Amino acid sequence: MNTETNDLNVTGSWVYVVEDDASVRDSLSLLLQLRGFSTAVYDSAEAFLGADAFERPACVLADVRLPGMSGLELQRKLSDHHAALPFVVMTAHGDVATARMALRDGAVDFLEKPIDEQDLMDAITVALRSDHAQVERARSREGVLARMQRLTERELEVFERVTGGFHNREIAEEFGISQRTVEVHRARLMEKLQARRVADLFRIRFELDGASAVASPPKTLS
Amino acid sequence: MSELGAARNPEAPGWQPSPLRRPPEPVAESAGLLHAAGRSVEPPELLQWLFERPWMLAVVFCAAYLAIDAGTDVFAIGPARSTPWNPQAALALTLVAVGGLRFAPIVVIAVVLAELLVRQAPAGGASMFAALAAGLIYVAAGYLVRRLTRWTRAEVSPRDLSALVLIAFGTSLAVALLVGPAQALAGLIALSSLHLVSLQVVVGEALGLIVAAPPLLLLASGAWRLELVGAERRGQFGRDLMFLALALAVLLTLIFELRPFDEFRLSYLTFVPMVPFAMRHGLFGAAIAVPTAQLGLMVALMVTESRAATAFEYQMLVLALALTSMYIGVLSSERERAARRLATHERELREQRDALAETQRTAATAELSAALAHDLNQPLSAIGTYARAARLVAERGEIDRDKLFHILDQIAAASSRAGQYVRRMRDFFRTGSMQSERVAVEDLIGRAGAHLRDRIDRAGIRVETSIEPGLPPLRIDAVQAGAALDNLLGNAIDALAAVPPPRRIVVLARRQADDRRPLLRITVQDTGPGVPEELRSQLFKPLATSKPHGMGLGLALSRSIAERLGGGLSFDAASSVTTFHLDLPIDEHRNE
Repeated sequence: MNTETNDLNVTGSWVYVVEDDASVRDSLSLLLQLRGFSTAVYDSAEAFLGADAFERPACVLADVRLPGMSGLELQRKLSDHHAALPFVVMTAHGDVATARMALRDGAVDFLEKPIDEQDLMDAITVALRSDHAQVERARSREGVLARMQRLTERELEVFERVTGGFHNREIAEEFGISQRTVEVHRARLMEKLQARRVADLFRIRFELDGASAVASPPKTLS
Repeated sequence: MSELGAARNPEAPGWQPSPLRRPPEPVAESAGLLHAAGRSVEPPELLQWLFERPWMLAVVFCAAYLAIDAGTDVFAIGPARSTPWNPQAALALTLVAVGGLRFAPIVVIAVVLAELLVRQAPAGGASMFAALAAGLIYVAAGYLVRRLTRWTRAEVSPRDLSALVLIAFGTSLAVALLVGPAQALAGLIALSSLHLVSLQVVVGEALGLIVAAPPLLLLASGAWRLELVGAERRGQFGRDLMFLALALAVLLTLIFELRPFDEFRLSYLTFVPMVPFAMRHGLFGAAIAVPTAQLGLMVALMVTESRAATAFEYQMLVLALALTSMYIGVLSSERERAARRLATHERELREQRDALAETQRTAATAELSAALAHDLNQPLSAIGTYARAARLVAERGEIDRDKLFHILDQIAAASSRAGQYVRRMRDFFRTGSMQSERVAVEDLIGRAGAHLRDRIDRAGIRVETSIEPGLPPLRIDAVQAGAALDNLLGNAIDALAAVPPPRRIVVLARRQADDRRPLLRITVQDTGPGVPEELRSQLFKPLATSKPHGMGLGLALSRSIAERLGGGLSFDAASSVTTFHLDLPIDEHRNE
């Protein structure tokens, strides 16, 4: 659950290079490999989209101007996808409008050709770290979801009330059960959710509410 | 007035030289424009001042009306004293036409007063009733001119002139129908001479209106400013009018004083100076010239002491003269205005075209340099990246020589690609430095194919080449012709990216039957989605492109290359698949 990724080592992660100029493509792939990244190259956006499942964490390094679908279109297509790959765009034009459009659509960085190695490494590192974090988040959310599945109906209700800021006494009154029973439910659900303190429950609730693809979202409190 | 007007005009209020436009060199033209567009039609200041003071206006108007009535009370016929021309009617009509119906009472009062004072009609008699009715008829005529014609507000058309003439005749007929019977009732004339008197009244009234109403209407409403034809001639208006008066004086002297023949036989000569004057100065010129001629004729008749009946006969001549001159004048004005509009329109069109061409040139230059930067940046970027990779390889303890050599070879290749591109662009920009060389058609097509081999293979495109056997070698700049061909092939490859396989490009080379000179036609066809209909008309213009990120320069450049080489580049709209023809000259004796 550690989202502090600034000193995370990203070497070995995947960089997908989408570039139609053979020499540029080849040289980038070579340099990135020498820097310790895994690379896969594609000569068009279509070829990239047609590829099989991607290794994660990873990022895309794509030229803006490609035959057929452009780099910007590819970026848009990927960002619609819910597991968006971080995107770094390159151009030999250096035109501001394209850069602005790419960044607005969520590109990590915009590199101008000829590409400065340091800029390239910085951009790739930022992109990969962000994907690491994304992958981490997804993984932890999956764990939480799996644990939530194990709660009984009543435990789920108690979880909602507790994370909604209600006292045990209030919960007991609402359900017409004793405070003692509420405490039992609470202890059991904390155990199932691997929560040590009440604060952990709040964090789980926060994470669930923030997730877009939650299987059974907690009922809202009126 | 006229000299001053012409000299002052460019600095007239409202005229502002726009800094973006070229300063208007022909003063006449710009001044003319100003008149057509800028100046509003307003009565002269004195008249406006009078309009605000109805009592004063009434006094002035009645005085003027009586003065004119009395002043033209010559050659009066019979006891009813009907005169051969009644310009005072025009004065009445003008007041209502310019000022509106609110001045109707003044008109009626003036007409009745004139009947009382000038003709000394008995108050309360039938002729008084007739005068009252005549006043009302003038008011109606003025109202009709105001509502139905543009005399008082805009440029006068032949239709407006015809309307005025019809109103004049209608008015005179109505007045004649009133005055004749009234006078007969009053016992002033015998019933037997009623028809003659009526005719005299019709002619006198109609002539008065037709001769005097146009200048009065134009001057009183201020519309005369719109009628000045050709601003450059305004300086000459006074001079020309003097010449006209002189010519008329000479002619009238000849006709009436020297009398080589019966005066009627020569009277048509008065048309001679009138027609060119009307031609030259338009409707306003005619409107001024006609009263001048009329005055001259009246003076001549008075001097020669003609009989009143003769005076009436001459009025017919003046009527013809007036109508002819005025129609010529109005047509001349129209023609002048049309010519001016056309000139303005043409100039605007030319300016627009120039601006457009300039914009396109600028845009083309900008796009061209962007394209140049892009195409140079690709190999430069590759070189830089390879160099860093090479350094990384070299930094390692155990050097992978094969890898290093591969990288260095790639650097050399990218560098030579950049150099080739620079050379090609330089060749293209350096006009007139085309290097002719003998090159076989097969080689030209082969080289272009080799450039693009990589892309063709990647896209899985099958290229079918068919070259007519026995073609003579070309004598052209192979680099430039190759660039144009490259572009066509590159477009075909791009187009095919949008369709699923099988992808096919057909390249045909054959002799083209041309009337003037032998041409080689290289046809490039692809089975891509085709050129969108809306793009076809501007296919060869810079910046037209169907590729989302294309520069839209390729075809424009390629065509100019082909044309520079003495050939051409065309799109075959009739073909069912995308087809471009690159024509190149195969003149063996071409020397360059």
